[in-house]
Amino acid sequence: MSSATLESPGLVPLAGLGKRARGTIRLLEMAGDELNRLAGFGICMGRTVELIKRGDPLILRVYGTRIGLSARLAQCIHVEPADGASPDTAEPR
Amino acid sequence: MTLAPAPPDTPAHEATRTAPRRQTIALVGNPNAGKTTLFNALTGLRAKTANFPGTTIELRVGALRLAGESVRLIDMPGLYSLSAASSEERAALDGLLGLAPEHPAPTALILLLDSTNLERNLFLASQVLELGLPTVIALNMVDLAQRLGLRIKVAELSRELGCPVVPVVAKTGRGVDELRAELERVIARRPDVPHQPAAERARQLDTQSQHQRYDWAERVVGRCVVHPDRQIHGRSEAIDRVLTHPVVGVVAFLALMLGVFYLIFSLASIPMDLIDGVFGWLGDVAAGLIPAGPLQSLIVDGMIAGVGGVVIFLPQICILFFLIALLEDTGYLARAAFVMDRLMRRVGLPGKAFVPMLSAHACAVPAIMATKVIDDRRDRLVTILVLPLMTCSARLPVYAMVTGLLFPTQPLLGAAAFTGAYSLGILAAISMALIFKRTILPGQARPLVLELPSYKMPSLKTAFFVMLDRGIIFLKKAGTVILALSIVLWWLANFPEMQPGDVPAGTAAQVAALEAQAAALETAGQAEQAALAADQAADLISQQQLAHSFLGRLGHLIEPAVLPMGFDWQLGVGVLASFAAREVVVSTLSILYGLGEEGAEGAALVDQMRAATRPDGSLVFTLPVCFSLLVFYVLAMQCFATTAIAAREAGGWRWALLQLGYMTVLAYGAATLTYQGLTWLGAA
Repeated sequence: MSSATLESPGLVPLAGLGKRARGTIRLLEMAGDELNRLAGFGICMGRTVELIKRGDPLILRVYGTRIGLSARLAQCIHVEPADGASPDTAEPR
Repeated sequence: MTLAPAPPDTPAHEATRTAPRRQTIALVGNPNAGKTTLFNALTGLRAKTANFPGTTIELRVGALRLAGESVRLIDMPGLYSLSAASSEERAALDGLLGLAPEHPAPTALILLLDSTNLERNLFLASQVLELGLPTVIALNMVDLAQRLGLRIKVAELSRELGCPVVPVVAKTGRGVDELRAELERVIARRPDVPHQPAAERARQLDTQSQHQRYDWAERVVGRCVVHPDRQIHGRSEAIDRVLTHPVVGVVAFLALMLGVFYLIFSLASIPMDLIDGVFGWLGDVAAGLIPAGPLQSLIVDGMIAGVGGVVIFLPQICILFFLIALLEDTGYLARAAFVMDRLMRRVGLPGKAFVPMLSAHACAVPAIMATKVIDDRRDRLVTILVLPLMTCSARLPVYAMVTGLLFPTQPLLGAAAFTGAYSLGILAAISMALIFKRTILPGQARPLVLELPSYKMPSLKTAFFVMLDRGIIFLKKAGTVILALSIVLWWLANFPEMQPGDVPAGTAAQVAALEAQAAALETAGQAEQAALAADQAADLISQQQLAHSFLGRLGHLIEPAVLPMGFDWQLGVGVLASFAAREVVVSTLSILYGLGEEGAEGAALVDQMRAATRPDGSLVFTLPVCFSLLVFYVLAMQCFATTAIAAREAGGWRWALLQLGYMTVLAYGAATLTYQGLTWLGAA
């Protein structure tokens, strides 16, 4: 995404999580109406999500339900990987 | 069809002072939480579908008996959040929830929560409860929650939320009586002062508080739900590993849709023949009751035949809707949208547009109605605009006629022409979508966010209701418009009436000879031969009548305009007559080539057309003309049922007219190019 992003230490884009890894959403870079839309699905600041399937679109688990999400949006969501889950760096980005 | 939450001339406060207005209960909840099933369980068969005034937001309205009183129940669109609504949804929500001053608030709300996914459902609940309306919470799918090992403390939850909570299983009807009893209590407690619009409160649904709402939801769930030690993810995830696979998922989807189409075309033929028979019988009965003359002709040839020609597509529409509703109910359609999203986005449309685009290959009417699933208004409009370019089943008789003309003895080439026509439609739809996305409706397709609900057994009853709803909307919308247009077209084709003096001398002599022949055969006892000769005479007269009519004259009038496409005045008449329903061109041409209406059924028409010559003696249906005709009917709108439905679903006639306009221009341009190009190639 944009290089102007203030990448806080320890945060990775959602799409950069390893498969089956969990992370807590810390930053959402998008317009208000997209924020509102995502919040209805449980994709919101402070929520913990699990990456079920990578790709475009990818699949997340949020509060027990699975949500299909386009990679374009996933790029704008930054998560703090949960303990033990390191950001997947082996996969080409 | 309009619907207002209350009679527009009786503001709430006045109504409560004079006669008590009919009470209204609105049903609110997440999509996939079982809202439709609960609505059906509460209202039974008496529901009808209507758009909220001035919007394309569709609501189901039913009646519910509470304490001996008939209460109106409104099934609101499924919502994940009140603040995520589009401007159109916003208008409908404000009206229904009493947030707009001109609409009274509902008496009470039923807030449906999926007990297997309480945290997320409580997010919407936090917004809905803030509206301050009397609310009863229906906690659905408690059986499934139990199976998953969740234990929900209902009394505790009711205390936390500050309103009654009733556990239900909408599918089996468990708890529905308790829900009714609770609603009766809430309604009885209702204060006589009407609810004040809480507009300012609703405006507080801002993004700032979103995470606080989830914090609250998590706290409530923490106190009221005991989770199992181990989470069960079930079979859905295993199935999805196959069905959301980028390659296998697409193949599986296409195979499934092939099955759907097979069912549509194989099952629909029986009721279609039946409808054809019924309208034929109606025509015969009417012809028997009404003395021959203009009135009989109007009713039989104009109204009954015109409406019958459209109603015949009802079985296809119903079967398609039934199957799509079943697929949607299983949860599969979300997967279809998921796997198609990446491919569809290349043409600027979301994955959810794909099922409507496939459906349009049976009929554009249900396809346009199925675009409701597309969240973004611009994406939805573009999809509606391009859908009728797909080859629907009404184009098949026209394709069959033209390929018969072109390649009567080469089935392989005929098949290639058919395939080419289908491909041209798809290609045109994709190109037009790209053009619309870069011009009048700019912007990329809205990025995908969608829930992949757990798979479940579909409900035949729900699918049946959906089918019934759609069928009725089609009959009402298309039926009335088509009836009006059929009358106009009938009048144009039958007036002014031909007087004996108007018949050209040559034709008059032919008719007289045939009639004399018929009489002679009759007396010789050869009744069959006699009838044949009489029919030929009648066909000749119909041919002359049509040529003499306003429509025939219009055909002559527009001949210079259709000439660039290689069309003569007769094809011009065919184009005009099939304006309301494209397949009519076949029967019109049959009349024009002197075979009567029945001639359209057999091979005789194609033979007659192949032999047809222009005044200078050259053949009419040369190769360039045939291809031009084919291209024209691939791309032209020529279906007023679709135009009427497009106006309803796009939210205004201007979109439907834009569609009609661009398709006509496109068809004209492409047919001209085809004719001129092939003629030039042939000459070169």
